[in-house]
Amino acid sequence: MTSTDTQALVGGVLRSPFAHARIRRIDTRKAEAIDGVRAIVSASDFPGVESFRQSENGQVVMTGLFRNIIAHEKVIYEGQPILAIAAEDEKTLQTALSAVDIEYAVLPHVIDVQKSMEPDAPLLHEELVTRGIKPVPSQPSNIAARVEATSGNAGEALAHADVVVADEFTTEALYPGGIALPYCQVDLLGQGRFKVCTHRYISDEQSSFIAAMLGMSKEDICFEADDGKSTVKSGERARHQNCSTADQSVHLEPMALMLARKSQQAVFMAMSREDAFKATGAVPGSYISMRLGADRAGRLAAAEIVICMQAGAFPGGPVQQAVDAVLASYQLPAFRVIAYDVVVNRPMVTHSQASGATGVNFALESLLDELARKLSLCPLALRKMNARESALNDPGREMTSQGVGASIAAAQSHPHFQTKLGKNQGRGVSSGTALDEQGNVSYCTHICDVEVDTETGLVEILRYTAIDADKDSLAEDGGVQMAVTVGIGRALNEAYFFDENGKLKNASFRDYRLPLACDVPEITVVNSGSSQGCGSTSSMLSPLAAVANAIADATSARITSLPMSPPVVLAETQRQKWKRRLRR
Amino acid sequence: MTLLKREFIVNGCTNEMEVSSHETLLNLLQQRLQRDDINGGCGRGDCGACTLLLNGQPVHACLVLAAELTSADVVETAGNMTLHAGNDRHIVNAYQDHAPGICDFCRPGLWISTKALLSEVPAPTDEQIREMIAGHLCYCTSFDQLVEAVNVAARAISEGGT
Repeated sequence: MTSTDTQALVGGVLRSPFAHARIRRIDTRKAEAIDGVRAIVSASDFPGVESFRQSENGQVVMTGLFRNIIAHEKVIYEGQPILAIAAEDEKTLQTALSAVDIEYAVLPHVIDVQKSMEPDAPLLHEELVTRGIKPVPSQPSNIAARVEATSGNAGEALAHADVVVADEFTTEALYPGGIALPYCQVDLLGQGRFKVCTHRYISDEQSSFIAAMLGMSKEDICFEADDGKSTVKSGERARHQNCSTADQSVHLEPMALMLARKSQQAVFMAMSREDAFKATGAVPGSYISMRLGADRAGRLAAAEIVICMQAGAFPGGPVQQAVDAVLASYQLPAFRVIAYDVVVNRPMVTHSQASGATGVNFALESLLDELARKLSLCPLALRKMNARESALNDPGREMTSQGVGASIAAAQSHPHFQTKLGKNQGRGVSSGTALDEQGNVSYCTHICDVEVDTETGLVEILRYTAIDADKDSLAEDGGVQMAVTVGIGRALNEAYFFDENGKLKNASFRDYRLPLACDVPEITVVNSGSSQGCGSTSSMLSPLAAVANAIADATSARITSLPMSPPVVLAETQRQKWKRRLRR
Repeated sequence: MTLLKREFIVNGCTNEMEVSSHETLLNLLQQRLQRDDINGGCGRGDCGACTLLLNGQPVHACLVLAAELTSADVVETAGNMTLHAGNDRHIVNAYQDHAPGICDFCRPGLWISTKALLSEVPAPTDEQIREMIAGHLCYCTSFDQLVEAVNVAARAISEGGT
């Protein structure tokens, strides 16, 4: 079969127009009667849903993954798939999708993580009982899990600490960065077997999940990444070209498979840009309350941290990544970290690129800066003094790298750190530690210089140095530079905006402001030899606090919520001016 | 639906086709001419992936109606840049050598924009290059490496040779 003689049906998805609603009735009779419609599938076509419900441990997470792909009984975020149709051409498909009649009972929604934790918040999942609490709660709630990590008596250590700094931080959910759009094509191999060609590699775990969803044997589905020689028509491939930054989660494949199975024809499916914004994984937003205590010399004594993380519509947010991030870089003699996995009426979050560590790193590195200021210490010296010498606090993990200290030392001796600053300019530093899925650890320390326009609140990045990267290579340096760029975008501009009905208002690149080449200066990358192959991951975390600390240095305004857009910076700098005037 | 007969040149080949009044040049190239050297990322001129040259000027193919084309119109897509030695080859090589992380999605549009920039400004400043790159949403490699690739291409073109 050549690339042009495949007559694949075109598949499309009908998505929820509501953030939260019960599906009372789905009537597809009109759509089925349209000439050229070959198959319609909804959740009831997938036998896997019952087995997921019955599996003891996987019930919550697996059922969530299933319902994220196709809604069952209710919709929990705008854009959630409800059913899929395969038709002979795009026009017939669109006519059929609009002919489906669905009756909804719209329910109250909640998109804010703190409001979702209130006892009277709209309940997303009637069966969801918080894991990690004993005794087991008798009532369901939107808190899917509670994770706690404790060492020593943090409360007592904080009470006896010479200096305590504390603040609350909020971070917004973020688009994970994919520019290319997810697509897949399912071809029939005969004897009940299928080939799924998709825009990226499907992991073994994902292929098992997809097979279970369809009630099929894994051996009957052959997955392959589109390498340009598949049966995907070249025109379609060009529309949805393969790209390393595309979303890596399972979205379309189970629906395309079921459509192909029902119609007994090849099916091609692709997401639109709006679909990708509304229904693919986001970097989780969070609310974080943090207290740090230290002695007069700056040595950390204890930390008390509460992390409330938006998991999106289904349980399984990367809370453990957040807890690990707290403990990864610095020695903390006593700590108590409590993290909550909280469901809200938003798309499911992603676990990639240490997304769970984003908010915690911003909070921790911001507070360390405040601590250094309070003690009149060099912020790098304070970090160096407290840096873990080897690795994470995990005795089971064999580590060969030098820890975050090497990158801090490299930053201390870098000429950038000595460069003179002008009026309304400030310098911020931040370190970070990240783990990738393979267990590799990367460390980094960043130096950022900004100039703040005190009339508008606009922040210009003047200079940026990232001490990172495990080896000198063009690809590695490029990865770190792009990670820093993404981090700067997240620090200054990026956020989802929802209307009062929980609908995403900025589901396009015009309205969701990604960083551009003219927004960032040349980024200097220094090899510290302290990473094990995922350098760019930690460098995606550090810019948030590095920029915040630089703004604080330039204006005395400590910004604790992201993004630090011009109105936010202006409001905070003006508040600081007022405080200074009142003190006179 | 009324179909309009249109004649135009794509990468040196004359095409005569019937197009609908609402069909975009992007759709025509991808779906009907089956070209895989042009990508569509947004359909509204935000991402730059579908940039091509129309009579030597860079345009977003998603914002051009196929019905606007006349027999005098010359379309050039990125695939054409790999076929011949000379200036185009310098651009292609510079991207390969200095921005190795760039993926197939962003690359065609960036090649085209680079060609357009260097034909108008043979020795652009870094600021001018960054302004050009800002028309493309690309996060698989660094902006600094893209700037370097354009600078290298500009130098190679000015020095001549193939």
